[in-house]
Amino acid sequence: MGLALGLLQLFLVAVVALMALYTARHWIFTFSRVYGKQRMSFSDVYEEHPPEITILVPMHNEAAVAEACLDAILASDYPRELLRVIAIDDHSEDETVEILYAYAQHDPRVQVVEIDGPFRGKANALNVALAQVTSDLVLVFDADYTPGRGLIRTLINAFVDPEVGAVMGRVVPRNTSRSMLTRLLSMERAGGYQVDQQARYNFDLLPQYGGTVGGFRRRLLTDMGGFDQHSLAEDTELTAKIFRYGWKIVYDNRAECYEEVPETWQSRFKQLRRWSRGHNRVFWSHIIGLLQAPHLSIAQRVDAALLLLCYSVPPILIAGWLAALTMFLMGRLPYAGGITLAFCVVLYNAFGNFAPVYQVATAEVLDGSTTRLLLLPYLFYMFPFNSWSITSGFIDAFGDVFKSRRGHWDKTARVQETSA
Amino acid sequence: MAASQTGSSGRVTIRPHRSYRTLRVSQGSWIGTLATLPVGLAVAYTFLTLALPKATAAVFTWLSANTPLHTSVEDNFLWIGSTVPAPSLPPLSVVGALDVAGGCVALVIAIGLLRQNTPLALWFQANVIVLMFSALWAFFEGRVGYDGPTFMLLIERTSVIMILCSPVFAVIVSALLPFSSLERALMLVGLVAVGFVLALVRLAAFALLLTHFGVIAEANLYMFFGPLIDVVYFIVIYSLGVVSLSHRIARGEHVWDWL
Repeated sequence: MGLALGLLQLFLVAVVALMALYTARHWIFTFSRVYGKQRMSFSDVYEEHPPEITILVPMHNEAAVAEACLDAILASDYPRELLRVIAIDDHSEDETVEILYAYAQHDPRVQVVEIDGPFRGKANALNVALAQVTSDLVLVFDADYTPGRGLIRTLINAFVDPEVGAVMGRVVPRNTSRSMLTRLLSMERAGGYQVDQQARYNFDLLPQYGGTVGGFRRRLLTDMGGFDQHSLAEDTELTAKIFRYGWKIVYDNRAECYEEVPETWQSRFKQLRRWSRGHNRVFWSHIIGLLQAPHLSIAQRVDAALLLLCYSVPPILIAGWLAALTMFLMGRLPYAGGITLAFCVVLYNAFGNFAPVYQVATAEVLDGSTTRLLLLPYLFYMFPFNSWSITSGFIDAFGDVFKSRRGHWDKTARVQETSA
Repeated sequence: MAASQTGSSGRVTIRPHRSYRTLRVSQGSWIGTLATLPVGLAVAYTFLTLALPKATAAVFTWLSANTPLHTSVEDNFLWIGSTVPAPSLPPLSVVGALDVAGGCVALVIAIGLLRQNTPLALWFQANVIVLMFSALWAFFEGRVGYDGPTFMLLIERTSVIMILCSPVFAVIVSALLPFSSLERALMLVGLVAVGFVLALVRLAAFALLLTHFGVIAEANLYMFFGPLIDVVYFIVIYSLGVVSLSHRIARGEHVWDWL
């Protein structure tokens, strides 16, 4: 009994230490974004002879949003003769494929690729489409994204640096006012991009390629053997591979693109669960390689570990909380233990959550928000939700490993947009 | 800082695009941030030393007059005196515990079948699961948690720690934005005051709830309605401070720095 109690206390202390570490990390990032020297990407470069590019748009049952996405891409100010759009239909059962062919008929820049093999999912769709790409530079947009006219040119500028393997822009929700959930997600996104990604870029750490509103060199993917076709987090996988092989990722805070965030809790739960499942698989596959990568500095390796571990934090926190509960039921939660628990939950909610409250607040202030900041306390509302959905994905990932099974792509439901 | 110039159409203010903005903070603001910690700790500790003994005694007097609760324990945690209500808990019924556990299992299954993943549904489920664990523990072990006075001491001491931590919280978050001295002071006072009132309400409410529901409810009270709830008012008060700051900026106060 004594040994078990000691182990429980030790575990609780370890959990609190981990939360404190994330707290410090987020605080330093926020401080850097607000007061530090901002590292600029290549946004303001004007390339007189821009390169040929291909834009991949994977779609599965995207009839509600496909037209808006393609209209926005085709309205780009990028030279017509240098732009090619490959719209990928991935086993759609709605009118997506008809919409895509209608666009291909009217605009020679659009090509349709239909996936009819046994696999479904974004990674597989991108692999199939990449086989038809001839340009060296590839951009990817999810079907619910509507880029502004100048965005493609802004993103492409990053590749003037030959060491850059990928570029990532900022994601801004456009359906923010639909519900409480969309408002909260918009705030989370602001914290994640305006502060977190920019700070990582400032410190020359590992800004993440997010799988959309970004792009990469085709050569890089070819050298790496393409995406793992069963991956549920091909973006995190590519991020890990890029850094392992010594390439760089540029984050461009100015390259804003609009997206549709999930509007129902059910849809968000599925999305987070899938992200967590895929992200944790990538963590287990790549963490050792990243920690041993000769190109990375010690700070970059630490950042890699903390970045990849982030989808394991909620299950670890829940485990710590269960340890505290067990001690409580035993009547052996000492005052110090109770206080430790208090710190633990406060740290997670106030500082170490998916997007810590001060990080979100700072991002919103930088974005010019005012009264909307009264919604900050509602981020607490996300705590049980994020914790459980991410933990569910973590459990799924474990199941995948032990049962040698493959995850299936649970598509995020879209809603028809009426106003951009 | 925003750049201003006068043109043919009047005075024009140019602000950096949001992706390029950083903030400008005066030396005084930094000093104010750093001073918040020792001043805040001194204020919180002095306030607790003076107010907690009287306030907790008043709470106990009210409970004695209006409820069947008539016993208390004196505490002197961190040299801060207090009178903590000490409810005597109804005896633990093993059969009753089994009933509670069975009811909880049925509820968990029912909720699972409904496949509700909203935050409130998850919060409710977590509460039911903890209650089920408490009941099962009581059934198998014959005892669970703490006796009434020890539990109330745990609650009171956790509240004291949380109130003393509020200046630390205030410093950590206020260092990241250019709050004025007034905003910083109000944030600190708000954190201590709300924490203090909530601690008293919690002492009275938990004592009454334990008198009625017994030891089986302890884990839910501590794990869900104890320190976890403190996070909410921490963030509420912080958000009020940030709203005030953001309105100041929107009115044209020059805080933006060009890169």
